[in-house]
Amino acid sequence: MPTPIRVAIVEDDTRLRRAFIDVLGSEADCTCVGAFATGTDAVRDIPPLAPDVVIMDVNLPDSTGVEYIAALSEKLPQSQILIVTVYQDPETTFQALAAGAHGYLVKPVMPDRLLAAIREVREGGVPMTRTIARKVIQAFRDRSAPPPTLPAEAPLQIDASLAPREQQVLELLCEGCYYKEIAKQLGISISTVGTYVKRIYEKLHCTNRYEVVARARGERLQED
Amino acid sequence: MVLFFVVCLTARGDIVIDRALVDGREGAVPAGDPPALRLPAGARRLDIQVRGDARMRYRLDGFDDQWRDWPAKARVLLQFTGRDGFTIDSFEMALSGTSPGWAGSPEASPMKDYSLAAVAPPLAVRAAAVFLSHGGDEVVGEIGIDNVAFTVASNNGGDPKRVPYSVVLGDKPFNPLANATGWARRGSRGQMAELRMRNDLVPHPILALVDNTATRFGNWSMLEGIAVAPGDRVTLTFSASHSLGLAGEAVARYRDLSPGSYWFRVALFRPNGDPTGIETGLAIEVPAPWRQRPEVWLAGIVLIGGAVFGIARTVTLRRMKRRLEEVERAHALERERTRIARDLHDEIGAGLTEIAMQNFWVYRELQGAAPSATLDRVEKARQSAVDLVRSVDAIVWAVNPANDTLDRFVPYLTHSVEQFLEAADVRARIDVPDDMPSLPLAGATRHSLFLVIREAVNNAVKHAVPTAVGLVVRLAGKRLSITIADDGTGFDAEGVAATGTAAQRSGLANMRRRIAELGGQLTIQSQPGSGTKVVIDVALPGMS
Repeated sequence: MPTPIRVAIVEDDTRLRRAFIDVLGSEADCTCVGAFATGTDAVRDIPPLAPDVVIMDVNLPDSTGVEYIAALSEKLPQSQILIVTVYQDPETTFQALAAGAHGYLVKPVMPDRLLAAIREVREGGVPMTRTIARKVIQAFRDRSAPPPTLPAEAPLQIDASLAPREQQVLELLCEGCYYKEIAKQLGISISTVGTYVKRIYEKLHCTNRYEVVARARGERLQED
Repeated sequence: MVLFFVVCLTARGDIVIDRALVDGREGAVPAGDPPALRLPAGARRLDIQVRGDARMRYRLDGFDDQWRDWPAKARVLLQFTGRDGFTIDSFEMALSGTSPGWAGSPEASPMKDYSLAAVAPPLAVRAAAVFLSHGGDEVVGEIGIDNVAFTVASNNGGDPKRVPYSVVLGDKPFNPLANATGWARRGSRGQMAELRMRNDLVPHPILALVDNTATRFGNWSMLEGIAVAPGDRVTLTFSASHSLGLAGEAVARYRDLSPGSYWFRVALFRPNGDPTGIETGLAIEVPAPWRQRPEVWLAGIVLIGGAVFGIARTVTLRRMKRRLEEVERAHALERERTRIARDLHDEIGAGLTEIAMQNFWVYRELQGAAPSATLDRVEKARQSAVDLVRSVDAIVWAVNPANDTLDRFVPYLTHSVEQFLEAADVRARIDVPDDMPSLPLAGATRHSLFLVIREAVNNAVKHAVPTAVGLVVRLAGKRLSITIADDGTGFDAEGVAATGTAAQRSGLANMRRRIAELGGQLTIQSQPGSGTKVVIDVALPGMS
């Protein structure tokens, strides 16, 4: 039997945390390696466990969510982070993705959805909605503003760090296409689309992680 | 050659006073030798930031009569694991500072008894202990652990059972202290976990943790632990000697020092508390309050000036204060509302999620063994719970004053519709401008619009069986227009209004009523076989 996917959980609500542990214990291809209730515990104790996937609730009592995602993402470059969020505005979800998450689950999370997302995220990142895809493409564009010598009508180039195929996939996501349609249009398999999405997320993390954390901290300071 | 020697000698340890803050502001430290800090009259708080790359202790000669450690903790964990070996729950306690009678090493110092008790949670089959040398990254020090034992009191009654978990030396013939059977060294620097011989009446080995690096930690973990059953009361007992301190950055704080001359010293120590001799310091002068005469003159001038202008100013100030209080009260109400919504949301959301999950499991367990009508009921119950959670989330979002503009509402709406359609496997055709102005939109307005649009999309997906649902948003001046269109079966809008079921009629009537309450209009265009279009027109008010 292939090695089960190692999953760590960060969730402050005890009921929900126990429920996640139960779900993971019920399948042979996943195993829970640790469960934590605060961001501080998570950042300190998860890296030695080296999990494959981290499930993290972004509304933890002691954190802005984004800072802890960035810290974990940096310490565990080989792992994927799935955030659990409430139905809220795409800007907050995007910030979490840019800080280091590879996908998000909306509460209430059903067991089948949780397991499907864990398997999906190992393959290639959980699909983005059109709204999120637009924010992602804007984030890449902002990193590479054209030099002042180019004429004003020159089209904005997406950051050269995105490969042409990745740019294509991102543009199709912005139009609202699902993986099936993107696969058909580009003549590739659905799992290849997933791999491209995974790489887009990873490049997004590299270029945007610190800005997002700084901005979240700045916003937090203003609220105080 | 000489230079090389000097560099080597001074590179053995570094302790530096970074800055001194007086009442929160940086105090000027004149570059005398030794450097001296003179506190201004009336200063109350003194914070001295130090930085050292080994264990640091500090004292203020003239105030403290001995060296002081910064608070440092080591952790002891009692972990319960399930059948597959993953940790279900973990309880912890801390060992702080230096144990009484510390004599310079864990094996030579008197030990104090400790215990940590917990009840085994459901699904637990084993309990094990972990002794960790850090409670935070900058802890350095030494710890000795002896007489480790478990006491298990079963849920079914009967006498509690005591299970000693002793340290038995490992099997390396030339180095019996290399490892211990039944224990594993872990942590970012496992060599910090050692075994030492304690020369008691009966010499025996004890577990030790020697943490001499601020950024790393070591631990002793039990390999097997003991078998437990859920509900058992498990008590971990052990004795320990410890001496813990901090390395890295720390702040020494003093408050309301009496007038006089002081000498602040901070020095490096070895992990076990022995001095190294490496030290630095700062002289501190707290002046006596004797400068009274100039202030009397100043007070006189201020009083005369104040009397002339005082009356006019108090009147204006009082008016401003009243206005500020009104604004503050409005904000407080909003914050209170958000707080109540948040509390409700957290409790209700968690409970409903539990209900939804339990129904999910029931559905799975009943499949194949129950009639499909029963399965439908279970699924409806689960869906109701899920829908309720979504509704509560939407309400919390709507009452949050941070979301009270159009440019926050439209992306939220679009994103929600996209997620809903994706879950229902229906293509979304979104036609929404990217840049909405920041026009104010009251909480009630946001919530009503969101509910009506969600109802419209829900109807489209459930009844029309479309391949695609479109969302169009347009803003002309202050008129907002939102259209939900589908390419499904369509229905006889006029007919339903007159002769439909009670549920259908009330659904449509509710939607119309909500929009009418906002001062807007809801129109439905539909014919059987040619899709449906729901158009909402509403004029946005000025300041709500």
